[in-house]
Amino acid sequence: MGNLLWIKQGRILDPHTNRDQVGDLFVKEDSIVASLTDQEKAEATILEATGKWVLPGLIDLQVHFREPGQSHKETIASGSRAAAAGGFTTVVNMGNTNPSIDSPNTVRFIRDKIETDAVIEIISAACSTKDRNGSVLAPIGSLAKAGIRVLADNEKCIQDASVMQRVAEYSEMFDLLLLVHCQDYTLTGGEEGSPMREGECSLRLGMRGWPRSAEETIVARNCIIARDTGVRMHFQHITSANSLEFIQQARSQGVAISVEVSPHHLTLLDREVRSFDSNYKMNPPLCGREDQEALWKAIKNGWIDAIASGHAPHQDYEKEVEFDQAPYGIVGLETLLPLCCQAWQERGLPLLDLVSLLTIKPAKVLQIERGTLEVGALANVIIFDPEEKWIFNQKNTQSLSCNSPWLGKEMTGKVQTTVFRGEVVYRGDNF
Amino acid sequence: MDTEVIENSVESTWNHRDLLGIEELSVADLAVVFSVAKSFKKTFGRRVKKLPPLRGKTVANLFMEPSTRTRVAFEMAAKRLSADTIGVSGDSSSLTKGESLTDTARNIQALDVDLIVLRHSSAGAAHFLSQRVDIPVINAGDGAHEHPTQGLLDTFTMFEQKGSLQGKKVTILGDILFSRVARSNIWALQKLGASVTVAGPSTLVPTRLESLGVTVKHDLRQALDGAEVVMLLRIQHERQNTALFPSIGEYCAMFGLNKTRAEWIDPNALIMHPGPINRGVEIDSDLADSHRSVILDQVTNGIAVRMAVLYLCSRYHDQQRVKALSKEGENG
Repeated sequence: MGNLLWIKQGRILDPHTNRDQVGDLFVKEDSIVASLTDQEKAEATILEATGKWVLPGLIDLQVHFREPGQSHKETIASGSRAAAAGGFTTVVNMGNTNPSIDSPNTVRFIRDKIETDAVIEIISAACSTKDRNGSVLAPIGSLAKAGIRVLADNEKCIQDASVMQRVAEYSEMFDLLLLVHCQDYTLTGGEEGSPMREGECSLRLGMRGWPRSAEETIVARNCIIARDTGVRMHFQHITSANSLEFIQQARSQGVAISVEVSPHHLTLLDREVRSFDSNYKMNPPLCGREDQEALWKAIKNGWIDAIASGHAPHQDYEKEVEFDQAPYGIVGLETLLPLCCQAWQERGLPLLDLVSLLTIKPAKVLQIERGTLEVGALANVIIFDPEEKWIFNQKNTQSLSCNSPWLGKEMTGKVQTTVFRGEVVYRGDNF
Repeated sequence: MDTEVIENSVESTWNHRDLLGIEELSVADLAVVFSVAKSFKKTFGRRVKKLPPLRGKTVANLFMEPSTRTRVAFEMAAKRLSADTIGVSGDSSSLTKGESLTDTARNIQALDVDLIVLRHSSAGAAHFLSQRVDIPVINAGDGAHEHPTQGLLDTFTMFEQKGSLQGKKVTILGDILFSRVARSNIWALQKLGASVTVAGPSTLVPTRLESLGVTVKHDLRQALDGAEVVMLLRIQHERQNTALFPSIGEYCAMFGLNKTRAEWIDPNALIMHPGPINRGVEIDSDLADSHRSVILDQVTNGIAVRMAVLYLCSRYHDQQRVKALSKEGENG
């Protein structure tokens, strides 16, 4: 007899089928089923979900699990557990490791590691240029042959438009998805970028500003390249109103592009940097209110395809340095859902829209059959208690790092159970 | 602020352990610093220059970025107050061996130092440090963020020469965007009621600076018109490779303060410069030495103001410690 689950009386939220109702959900082996026989019910593991939400397992299009090369920050094992604890059952892991994931050998290494260590589904992104150098094409065909479906030079941006054009043309041949980070290095004081967004706050603090034009110029260029090559292109962590306008304009002309935003850009502003706390240093940096409002407006308009954490672990001693010398990025897998739920409530937005940005919409970007609870779907399910209050801290995180502006802060809402392919892979604090 | 406020102010109203920036100070705080600096300045020129307030204390001058003027002024100020001083500079410290600023500072504190003066190339370095040690930290310049003692000594000099700055036009000319001196002066001058104009080429003085509450002018004549104080900032030759303006020659031609342009300024206006001066770039050599120039008064006042800051922060910290100890005593 296979695996049987009976999730009882939860509020089932499934945007794909436009379902928002209290009821029971049944899992048999690795799939969602309409019901169980009486005998199966008797044998099934019962998960009580009264007062809780039952959602499809979440999908994150951008995480950094750091292995190989920086396994003191995170590993496939720890990262996947943090993902499960945050309600994620599918994540796209960036290839900015050391060595970079830019050859069939490194792809095979990471695939073996995932097979032995991961508790959820990890989709590996490989680099589109050799060692993410932005000039020499990675062996994209061989990478595709080794099973790669997604390319990203994450946090690096190909500066040379002709190289970008070739990467796009070449990737299109294998129907690969190209994830792009948009940053014109010449406008950000070089490849390393500037410590914060250009604006009144950067002027006050005397910090070199990262102008939004640095994102917008590359977004515009990439929209044109996507249009001309037909490659499927996905814009990572967009932070500017104008970028969104460019993307939407290209989309209305039928260009195959999609876009994600990050929870921290939706909930924090550049003025947080006044604390000089490097947990407010991210790439791209926190934006001002005007752009943040534009992100929210884009969400309301249905222009956004995904919310991605950008989960970027660093050890505290690495982050605890002068602001401009600190590495970019924060962890985000375990705080994303409660933070977004709270922000959604504050803005009075439909809950199903939030769930769709974390499930069916990113699944469509990846062209994978995930992100729904319809009968026959893969049984990736989470149970979320929207009321539970908890403190996010070093002790309860599954990640090896805790570089987060929300460290020590109270969260409302917590994932109770994560089911991956019909198996319970996370349960409360008893992992 | 008028003279009376300053005369009546007392040092006991100062309640800062650290001096990190001017932006977070109150008008009353500025008055206290000026009043104390004024008293210290009265002692200058005495046969015996040392005063006792910091006797037995050690001040560490942590200079992670090259500096002559500020470092010497802090050292002199500390010594005038009878403190012992130790100097640590970036190129000779363990920071070159990869030690973090946090660890360096903790080590210095472990050496039983009583106060740290920090110069650092990163904005916020002094804030960062102050959160990690429990002794006073004085910011001697953090990146392009603040240089509070410079802002204090500049406004103290203006105050000495002009009395109240209420409603007076002060023009700061030169590299504003990358200048911590400009920022500290802007905050101090605004608190003192002056109206601040900043001027220079738009790449160094972008219009968006108006969000800081200043007037931006790219026309030198308009900038100088009616100004009672003109402060020139150093044009940093070393930035020239980033092409923020075409050439030093063009800068002089457009924004250099020469004799003809000096005619546009009120005859009683002050000419100031925090140093080091590039003679013939920001300012004609004669003008720098003219009767309107108070550039050397700024240097002298730099000692008095820094003595005041060291004294006030150290005094407040000692009081807090005494309070904490007596509380501990009460609690058994």
